Amino acid sequence: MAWGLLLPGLGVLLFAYAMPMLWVLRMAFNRFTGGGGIEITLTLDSFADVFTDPYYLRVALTTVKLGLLVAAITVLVAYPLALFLVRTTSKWRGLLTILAIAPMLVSSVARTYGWMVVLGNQGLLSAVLTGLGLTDTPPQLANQFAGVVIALVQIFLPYAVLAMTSGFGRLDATLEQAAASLGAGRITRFLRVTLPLTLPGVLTGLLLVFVLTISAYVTPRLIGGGRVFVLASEIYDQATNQLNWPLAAALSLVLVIVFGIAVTVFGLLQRRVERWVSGR
Amino acid sequence: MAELRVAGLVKRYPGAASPAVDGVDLTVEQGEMLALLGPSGCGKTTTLRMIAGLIEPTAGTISVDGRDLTRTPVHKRGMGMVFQSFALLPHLTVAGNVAFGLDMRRLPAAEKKKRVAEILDRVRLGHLAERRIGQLSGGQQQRVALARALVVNPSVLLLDEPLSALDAQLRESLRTEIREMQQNAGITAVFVTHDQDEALSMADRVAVMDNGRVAQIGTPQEIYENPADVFVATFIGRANLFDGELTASGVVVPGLGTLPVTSDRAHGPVTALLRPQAVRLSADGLPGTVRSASYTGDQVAYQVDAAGHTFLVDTVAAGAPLTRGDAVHLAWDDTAVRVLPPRDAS
Amino acid sequence: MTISRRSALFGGIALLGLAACSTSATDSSQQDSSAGGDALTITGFSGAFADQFQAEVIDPFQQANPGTKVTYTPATNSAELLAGLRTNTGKATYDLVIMDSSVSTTANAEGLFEKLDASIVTSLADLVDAAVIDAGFGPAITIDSLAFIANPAKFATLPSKWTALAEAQYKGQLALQIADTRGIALIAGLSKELGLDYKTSIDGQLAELKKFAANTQTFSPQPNIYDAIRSGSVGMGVGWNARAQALHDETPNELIVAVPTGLGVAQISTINLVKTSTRKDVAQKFVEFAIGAEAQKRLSESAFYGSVNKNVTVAADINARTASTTGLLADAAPIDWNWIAPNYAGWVQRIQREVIGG
Repeated sequence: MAWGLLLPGLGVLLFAYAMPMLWVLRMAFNRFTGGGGIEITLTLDSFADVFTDPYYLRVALTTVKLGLLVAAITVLVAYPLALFLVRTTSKWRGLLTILAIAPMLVSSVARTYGWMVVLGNQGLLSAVLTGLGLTDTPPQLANQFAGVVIALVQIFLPYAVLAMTSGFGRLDATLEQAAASLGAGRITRFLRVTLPLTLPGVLTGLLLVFVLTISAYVTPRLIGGGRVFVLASEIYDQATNQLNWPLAAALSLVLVIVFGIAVTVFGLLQRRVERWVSGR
Repeated sequence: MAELRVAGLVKRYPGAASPAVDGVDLTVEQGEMLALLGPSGCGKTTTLRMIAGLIEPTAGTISVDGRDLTRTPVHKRGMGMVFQSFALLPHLTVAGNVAFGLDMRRLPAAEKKKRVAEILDRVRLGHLAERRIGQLSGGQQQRVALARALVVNPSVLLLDEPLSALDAQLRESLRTEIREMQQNAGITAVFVTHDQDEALSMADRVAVMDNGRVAQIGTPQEIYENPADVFVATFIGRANLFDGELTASGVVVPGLGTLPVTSDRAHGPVTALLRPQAVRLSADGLPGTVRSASYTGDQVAYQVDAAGHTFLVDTVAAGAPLTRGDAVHLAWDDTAVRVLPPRDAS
Repeated sequence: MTISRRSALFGGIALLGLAACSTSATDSSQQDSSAGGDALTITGFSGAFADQFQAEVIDPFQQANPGTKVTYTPATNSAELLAGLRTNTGKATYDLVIMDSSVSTTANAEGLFEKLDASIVTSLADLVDAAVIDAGFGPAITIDSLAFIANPAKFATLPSKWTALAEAQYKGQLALQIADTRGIALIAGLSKELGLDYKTSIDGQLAELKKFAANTQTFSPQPNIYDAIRSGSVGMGVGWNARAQALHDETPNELIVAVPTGLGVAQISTINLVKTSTRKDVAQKFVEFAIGAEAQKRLSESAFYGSVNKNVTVAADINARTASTTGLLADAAPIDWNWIAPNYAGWVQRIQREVIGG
């Protein structure tokens, strides 16, 4: 019956997600014996490393900080864009929407390299700033946290726009008109009508970008100058450079927990907001 | 409470073949309720939205009590509007919606509370003040929308198809309710509808619109009894129409002979109108055959073939209705015949 | 170490992308079809090394042994190769694997590789001392050294000691990719320069690295250290001598290279026989060819690798630019990759936390 429709997706999830996750879970309890050696056992060594070592706490905090910052800025930038796309009655709307999400067609790796060209200390931005005589010492953006934030914002902007345009369904032009007819000016209308009704979309956008950011690996690595440590890059390093698979697995589980917390918190918020704006 | 005057109102959308609104003049007296009636696409909603300030006119003026509001933004017009979809803010309660306009006017909290309570009592929703919008029925939502528009004491109340989203039965009772509220408040009102019953039963005067123009404006009775043209005649109520030639002796209709009426129209082609209620089944007169009968309890609507025409005849039901094939005679008073411009010209 | 029957576990990890198994992706059918014939699959470093190895070793070998088909598949890095070997314990994907000596000792210990037959690989007897990592197991195929590399437009001369990287002139100009083998090698180099013993402690060496970190613009130059220097986005860094020498010949105005005298640090890549290989004879024949004098001379002359074979002599000007024991590695900083292997991860971790993240 209808449940049968779930089977393909369920199957894919089971084989491509649940099983590997179980293996990762098991791996986390093995012991690393140095030089890439692994002892099959049941130990909490790796978790002890992860939870007692202030370094990993710092990495986790950096990851969450990056996630929140990128999510907030991206949503702030995407909001007017999404609002425009939802509201416009132009016949170009379809084309404009495609334009807004077109960057997704280019791999994030390619876009990250693009940002390296722009942000590098001999890059476009510093050339423009010095060329205009604005500064002799252009801000160092590449190889820094700031550069990672800038690049990720641009890379995830289309995702945020997509998530928000689909989340702005409750926005109905007549609601704003009704508010206007009752004497609400442009700003009041935005604050008291548009903003509350678009909050569910905003939350969806925030969650999506947050999750994408904390799992981003390529951009922090390429633009971070090797000094921006996030969980994803740490997992990669542990797994492929240090061959410490139990630790990599334990860190992966930490990342999954961060995901879980984020999804739960946003889910609760979303439900509250959804109930609030739906009028039920 | 004020007089609304609309003059030479035009709305032309870029790229459109013809203007959506093409020179509308209206005057709505203080306390009067005017219905804008017409088929969809006739420009009635565009006209209302221009009055509200939601659409910018291409030309023309809108004024209230002589004050030109044409360029005044919507939120400064001081009008109240009820939307077809009610447009209640889903994230606010009933009281929150009603208080919205008072908030904008920065009323003191106590005064605000009092007025919200008053108006909600008047629409019999006082007990639902703290309900969420999604928990209300359609009729309740309609009344909240009305209360919200009225609580701010608007100069003019605008209603855009206020009842079309509701069930037929609810519509009937709300008609009276809206009309009573409007009359009690003595407020000038314009409402848009495509439903002729609604227009005729609620409005002091009706403006029938067609193709962006006002085809006729007048009291419901004037509109019904003396339609200006075939369009108005057919849009309001049902009509028997006969194309003929106006002569000194009356309208000569092929097959039917001469309908002896006088008219100050120029002699030549005309269309004669005879309302179905004006036609009687009688013992003598024009012989015909019943083609169909539709029984609605208090009335029977017949279609009768006579003299090469099909007549619509409405009669008060009495006894068993006639059936298809029955022979009848049709009669009418000559004074009931109206002479309209010929069909093609309208 | 108890390494056994973990393929399923590792497979799961691989699925997650923690260890993308490009190494295990090769279809086995091509091997099966020629299982009895002379076909050989080799994997190792990608990029310039792959091209050089193809041109200087594989192509000549195929010419000398017509009918033997050698396929070289580049891998991302040695650690990934090790992961691939572990996941494919049942069935050989590769016959020979070229990897960092620090990783191959681990694989040797885990029994993933097999000792070579000295009667086939007779050149084992001709190896220089540095080329023997685990006696009997796969020998060095190339010897390289850590080197300074710089963009001559920014720095016309190169320093003569590693500690020079702390100088103020390099502020914001350094690219130090040291959270890997380069960092380990730099620690060894600093140990000799500062008179420290890394087997006792690396605190002093790390303190020095921290001074370098203050000058560092990036710890992860993109797309790689050599191109970052050539493009001028950074001015100075440490890299591998062989690759840098070759690039210097290509673009002398964009990249210069030097190994500080008496402070060279040997970096060794080994060529290893996979235990589950079904073509061990051909594979060992290839190893014999690869470490033989002819191929090693070619690798020295065209790719600037120090010869692993004592019988090789190259022109003096070439020798002076290669990491040979009579060239750049004469009086080199001692480095014991076997001893380092179990400490590798710990050192990299300390570099990452105390130097880069500090």
